[in-house]
Amino acid sequence: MITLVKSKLKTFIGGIHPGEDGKLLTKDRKEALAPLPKIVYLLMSQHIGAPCKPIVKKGDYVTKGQLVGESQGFISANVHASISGKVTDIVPWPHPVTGVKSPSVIIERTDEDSWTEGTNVETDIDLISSDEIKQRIQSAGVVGLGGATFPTHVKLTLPKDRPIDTVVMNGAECEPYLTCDYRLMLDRSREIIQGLKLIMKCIGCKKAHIGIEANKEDIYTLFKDILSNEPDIKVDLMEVKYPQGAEHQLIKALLNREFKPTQLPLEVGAIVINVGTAFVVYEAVKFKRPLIQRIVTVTGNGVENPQNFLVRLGTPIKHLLEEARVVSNIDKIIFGGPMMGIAQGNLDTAVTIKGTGGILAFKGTQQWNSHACIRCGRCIDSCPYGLNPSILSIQSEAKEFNLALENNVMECKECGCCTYICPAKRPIVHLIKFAKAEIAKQKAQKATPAERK
Amino acid sequence: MDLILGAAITLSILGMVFGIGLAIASDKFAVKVDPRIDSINEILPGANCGACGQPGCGGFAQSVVEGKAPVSGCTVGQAAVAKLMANIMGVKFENRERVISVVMCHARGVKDKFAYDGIQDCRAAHIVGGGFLGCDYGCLGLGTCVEACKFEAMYMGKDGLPQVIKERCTGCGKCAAVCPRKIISIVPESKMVHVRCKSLDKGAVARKICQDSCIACKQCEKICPYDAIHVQNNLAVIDYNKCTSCGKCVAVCPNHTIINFAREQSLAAHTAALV
Ligand code: SF4
Ligand code: SF4
Ligand code: SF4
Ligand code: SF4
Repeated sequence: MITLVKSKLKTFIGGIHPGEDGKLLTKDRKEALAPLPKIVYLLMSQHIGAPCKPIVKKGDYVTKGQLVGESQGFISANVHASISGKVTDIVPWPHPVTGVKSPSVIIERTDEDSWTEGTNVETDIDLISSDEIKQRIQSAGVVGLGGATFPTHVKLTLPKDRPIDTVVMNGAECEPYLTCDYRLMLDRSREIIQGLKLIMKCIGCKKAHIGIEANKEDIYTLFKDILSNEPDIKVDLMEVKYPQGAEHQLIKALLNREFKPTQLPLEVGAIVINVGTAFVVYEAVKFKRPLIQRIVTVTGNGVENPQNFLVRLGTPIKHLLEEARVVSNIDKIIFGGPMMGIAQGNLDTAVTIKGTGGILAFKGTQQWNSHACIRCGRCIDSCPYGLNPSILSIQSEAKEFNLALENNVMECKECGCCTYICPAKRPIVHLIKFAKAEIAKQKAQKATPAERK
Repeated sequence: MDLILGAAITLSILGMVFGIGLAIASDKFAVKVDPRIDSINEILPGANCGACGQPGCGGFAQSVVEGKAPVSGCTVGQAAVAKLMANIMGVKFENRERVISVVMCHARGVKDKFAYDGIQDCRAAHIVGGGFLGCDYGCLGLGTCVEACKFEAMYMGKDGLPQVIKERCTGCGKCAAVCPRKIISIVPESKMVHVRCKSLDKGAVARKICQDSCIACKQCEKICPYDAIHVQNNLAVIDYNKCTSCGKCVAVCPNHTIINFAREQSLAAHTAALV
């Protein structure tokens, strides 16, 4: 949307303004400890990269924080037991977002809930070396908690020829309904700043920039207060707009630097970390606590008691929904935020993973019939990456995937702005995902010519 | 007058120079087209289906002449075309058996995991949470294979599964290539016995999901006199090189997973005769 009066708040071009009311449901809900689940399902593939190898056997007893999945290769992240108990089985389990099955370690809880040896010990981090920081992050299995779940130690391993001058911290939380980052920033602000400083130390970067959306002014003042003596860490308010927290939009808003959709923030001398990630980095480095829990917003009009739960990884979402008093006539359960989240088909198998920030339950959702494109151009205005979603969706519909490729379909980040804004209710993102999947398949086939019988 | 004469002479000299130049060039840089390409082109079916892996029939003809593709490479033309091509190329023709496509799923009583109202294409449905079907391996039934078939050899049956019209199927493999579940196999026409299941779920799990699934009981493996069927990853797989279509496994399979086309055909003929 083109605004003639230039807003004073920092932002980017494109994007949408989804309703803000959703956040009010859980904004005041301080993190609540969800009762421990009886059983957890730890997926060996909770991150981008190679799945872990289970290093426990059926029948083994494990204690909280014990390594159960060893990372394979550099781009991979360890998985630790999130409760103490007995390994009852190791079976393929579907990923709640992709549906792809990967081995999963199933642990049944026995009563005690104490940390395994060597974890949960307070250490002195005043003089810690940068290598040690990275090593502790890696062994704790930290991944980006903003949703992308990219292993953090990999992100912090920078190519020598690409100096980073600013660490950008994402406190936008631009997805409607979610307040898990908000609560974390409010309740654990000092720890987050410590985590940010550890990351800066780890990569030898002197400056940082924190971006907060204007609907969280209390956080802004809080951070300003804490950082009043730290001129190198800037805090800024940004316009409330989706997807303000995406890497490209965040860097454009805060640093006024632009880079191609296919490039990484490294290109413009920045890296982006989420506030949640900064917090677990602090936990991992200071207390050697592996990543076994996170805050999950359970909300929507389908639950009577919306909450921000501190949840152990691998908790079945049924357990959480029950805790939040789910109503009987829910229509839709969404994993993640309403914009990028994935609707769940099978409630029996859905479990939380490292990237789960929200679980939304809705009742009374409307079914829309989609129509042919009316060429209104709204999707083009809304696309933060300057793509033409209309033409991409039409080409994908016609199975002309190569034409879509020419129109840069691969640059789409699936942010969902176009689908949200489309008055013809076209399933644009689905069509784009379809085209991307087909193009990827074609590419793979070219690489290894299919054997013919 | 002089002016006109001068111009005429200059032009004729220039014309002569260019003429000779062109004559030499046309001889020296001539692109030699192998006449065999044209003759092969004439006998190819002209469907441009791409099943040979070449860009259309023309591309295939050229590749054959260049020795980059075998004379038997055209799946559609089958033996008849291959024989003619072998003549043109002056090579020996080896008869290859006709192959056809078989749908290896017989999903019965499978419930949907969730209601799907997205794009009506199996490939698009498959990327949404691994597909809406209760079975992660079974046919989604949106007919992408039928759409892909250039020879109208497939249709969606009443049971929601794609059916192959054997006589029309050319074995080009287009349907098999588009199926996101890899359910369709291209097999020799003479093979009558097929395991119509792709589920790698453990027996106990598979049994709950589908009435016709392979439950990995290994009965077939035990009875097979030719060592042709083996359970791998919870699924019986036939080695078509060894299978003689004797049908022994069909009889012992407790879940009716294995089908015998020969029996089906005679049954159909029988009922038709009765009616
Ligand atoms: S989903 Fe893709 S095409 Fe649509 S607005 Fe976002 S980046 Fe643009
Ligand atoms: S917003 Fe929808 S109707 Fe409008 S141009 Fe884009 S795809 Fe077409
Ligand atoms: S066989 Fe494959 S392509 Fe054909 S309808 Fe079934 S799932 Fe779709
Ligand atoms: S007999 Fe049937 S169910 Fe048993 S392994 Fe063979 S195909 Fe599967």
